[in-house]
Amino acid sequence: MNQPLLEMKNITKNFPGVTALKEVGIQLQRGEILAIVGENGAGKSTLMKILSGSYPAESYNGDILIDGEKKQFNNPHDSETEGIAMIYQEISTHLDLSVAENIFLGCWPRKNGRILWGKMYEDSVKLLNIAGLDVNPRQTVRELSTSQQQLLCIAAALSRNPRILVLDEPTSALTEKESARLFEILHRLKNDGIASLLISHKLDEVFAISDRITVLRDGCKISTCTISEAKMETIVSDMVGREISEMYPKEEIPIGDYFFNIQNVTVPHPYNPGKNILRSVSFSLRKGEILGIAGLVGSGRSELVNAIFGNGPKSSGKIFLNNKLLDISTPRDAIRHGLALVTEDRKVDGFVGVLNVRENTTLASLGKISRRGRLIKNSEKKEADKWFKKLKVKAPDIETILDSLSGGNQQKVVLSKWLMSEPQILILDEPTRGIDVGAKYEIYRIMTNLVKKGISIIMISSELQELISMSDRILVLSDGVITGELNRDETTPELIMHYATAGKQEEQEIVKNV
Amino acid sequence: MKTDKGTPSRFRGHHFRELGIFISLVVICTVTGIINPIFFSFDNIVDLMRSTSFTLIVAVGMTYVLLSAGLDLSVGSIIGLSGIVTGWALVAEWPVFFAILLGLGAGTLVGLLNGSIIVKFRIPPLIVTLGTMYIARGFVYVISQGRPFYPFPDSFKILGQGVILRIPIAVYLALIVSFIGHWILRNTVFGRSVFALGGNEEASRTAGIPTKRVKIGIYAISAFAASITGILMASRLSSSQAGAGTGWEMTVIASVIIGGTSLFGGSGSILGTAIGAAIMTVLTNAMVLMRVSVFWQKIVVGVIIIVAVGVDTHRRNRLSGSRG
Repeated sequence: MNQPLLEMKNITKNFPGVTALKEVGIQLQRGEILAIVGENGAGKSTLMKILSGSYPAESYNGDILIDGEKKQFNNPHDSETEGIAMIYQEISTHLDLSVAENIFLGCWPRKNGRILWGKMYEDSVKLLNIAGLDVNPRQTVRELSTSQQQLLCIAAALSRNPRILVLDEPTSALTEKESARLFEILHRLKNDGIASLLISHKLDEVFAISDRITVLRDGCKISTCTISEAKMETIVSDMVGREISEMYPKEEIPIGDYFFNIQNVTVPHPYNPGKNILRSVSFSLRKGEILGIAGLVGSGRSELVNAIFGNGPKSSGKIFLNNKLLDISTPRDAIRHGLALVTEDRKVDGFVGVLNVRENTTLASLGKISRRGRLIKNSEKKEADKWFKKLKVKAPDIETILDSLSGGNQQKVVLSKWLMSEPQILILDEPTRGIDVGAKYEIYRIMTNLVKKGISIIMISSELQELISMSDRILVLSDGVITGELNRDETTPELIMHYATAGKQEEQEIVKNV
Repeated sequence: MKTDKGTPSRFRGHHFRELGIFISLVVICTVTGIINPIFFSFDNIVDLMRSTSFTLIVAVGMTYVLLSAGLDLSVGSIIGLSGIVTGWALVAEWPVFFAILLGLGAGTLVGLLNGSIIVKFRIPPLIVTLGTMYIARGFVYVISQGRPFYPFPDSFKILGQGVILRIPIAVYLALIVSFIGHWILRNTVFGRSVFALGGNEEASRTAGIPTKRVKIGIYAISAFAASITGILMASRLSSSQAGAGTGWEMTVIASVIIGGTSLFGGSGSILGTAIGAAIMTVLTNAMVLMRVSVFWQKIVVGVIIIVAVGVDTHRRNRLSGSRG
């Protein structure tokens, strides 16, 4: 009959105190793209780690069958041998090795113990072409952007000639255009009979690419349906276990006057000393406004907010709050003036993983819970507890180490930290990246509550839908300059993309004219 | 979710960890005592406590450094420097109090220098303190011309030689230093900053922690603690030796690591360090009493360091790998 390529049967996995998976089963046919969706902590990653062999066969119950044959995966190598290739959300590349070396890491083409460099470079070019990455295989990976590195990981996975490709949130670091490109590749591979397992939070993507969708919740399989019978609302309510009447709880509230002005901020390029990544950018912010900032990766969005916050270099530029010139050279200065920044990559500079929820929550407001340098433990506990409950962080208690929380809950703690500092201006750089639908909704809800209290928000996001739905006004950055400003009623995704790519075209024209 | 209110989970974990090394200490003591009853004699125990105190004071400072994911190799030389400077001042007939102050100041200055260079020029602590290790030792020889300073007034010798209730004054001093060290770590903004800095420097900076100032403070504390031991040693020996403290940095780092403080920063405790320092001292003493050849002693210590760190790493991996 129709023998599935891969079948996972009755998988049950227990951790001390928690059941991560309860009798979950999935089937994958040749040339099929199966999407697995669910909130963080639903068990998706655990399921993938079982499939990849990261969790050895004796640590769980249930069977893995490939072509109907029972397999035992005790380490990642075992699953690789069976033609399973993993592409992780967290990009793991070796920055100082070349592109080609990264692709063939661990299985370099060799003869008598010598690496065949020529063959390696040739093969790399082929794989890079398939992945749609236009770089020199001899380049070091350090010179590549984040999204290029993600595509490189895909090329590396393809070099193993996989039969099953497992992608865990592959587009979280990609722009919409690059994501589209990635899906094109998946489609091509599908036609070659390669099956893909896709884990994603972005439901529109899931609907665009997959053949079937499986929903996991709290370690159980809730539903599986083919794409033709799937409905967005049902999937979402299956994921969160409740109806979400509206995904974006945006409320129209009166917006105040301009009070925060940025004038001529210029930021030098991190790798190219002759170039500026941000060139003389100016804008103003109103009280109670959500100002969206759009732009492709590399347009200077993050550099802009980091420069404002004193968290990155700035070669010139002035910042005024209520017509008063601010001197911000470190984040400490910025916080004193009522600014807060939820950074793009929370792992890098968002939270301290070895510290617990309480310690992370109070980290930016230590002055509030201390007297003459001495911590007041009771008031620290009270404050931390208050935010812990307010933001509904899912963790046993406030003494839980951040490293052991899921991405969405880590992000909530990061938010707690900044809300506790009582900012006037909250800057959010990709606030919902890599977190689940339920947590996203709660973050939108928090944003709405904040602007109601007169706090202003600057939000950077690559998800256009989110940006358009939540922002009162959107600035579009392209190649270091603001190319467009759109009011809420005139914004469309097409218009944003038009402005986002505008700078590049102009520059190309200039080059042509020269 | 409902959890017991009394002890927060992290503290439970910590206590368990310290309990583990504490049990090791008790086992080493018991076994040695059974093989050679001299171990439990009052004189031996007082000796052990005194040696442990000298190491412990430096180790308290080093705990701060390792918690911040740094390293301080200069403490051995700082011990030498503070001893020599104090000795010089005493021989020049300075009042004891000011002689001690001068010694503490000279040593702490090296720490401030360490911190400032690390912060200003972003040179790894390993390199900076390796450099100042040689520089400080060099100054010791320049000041002393290789000759010891003595004699010292009796009021100075009391520090390292005196006893209260038959227990050496140095032991009380070490307890006070440890207690203050612990209190600062757990109860002050500065202490919290040390943990945060060691756990994630970037995130700490973004959260408004003055990371540069904290770092300079940490190296100053480490140097200050080493200076205390330097002065105690001079007092104990009734003379300042140019070679005092040579090689101590490794013993001290080993004590802190055996005590469970992570080399990667962010977790550890002074209590652990105290037990670690005791283990280092007792172990050497035990091997002497059990007539283990001196040549073998170093091998045993080396093995124990690796095992201690191995256990810590294993524990960490298990902890972080437990959620999917």
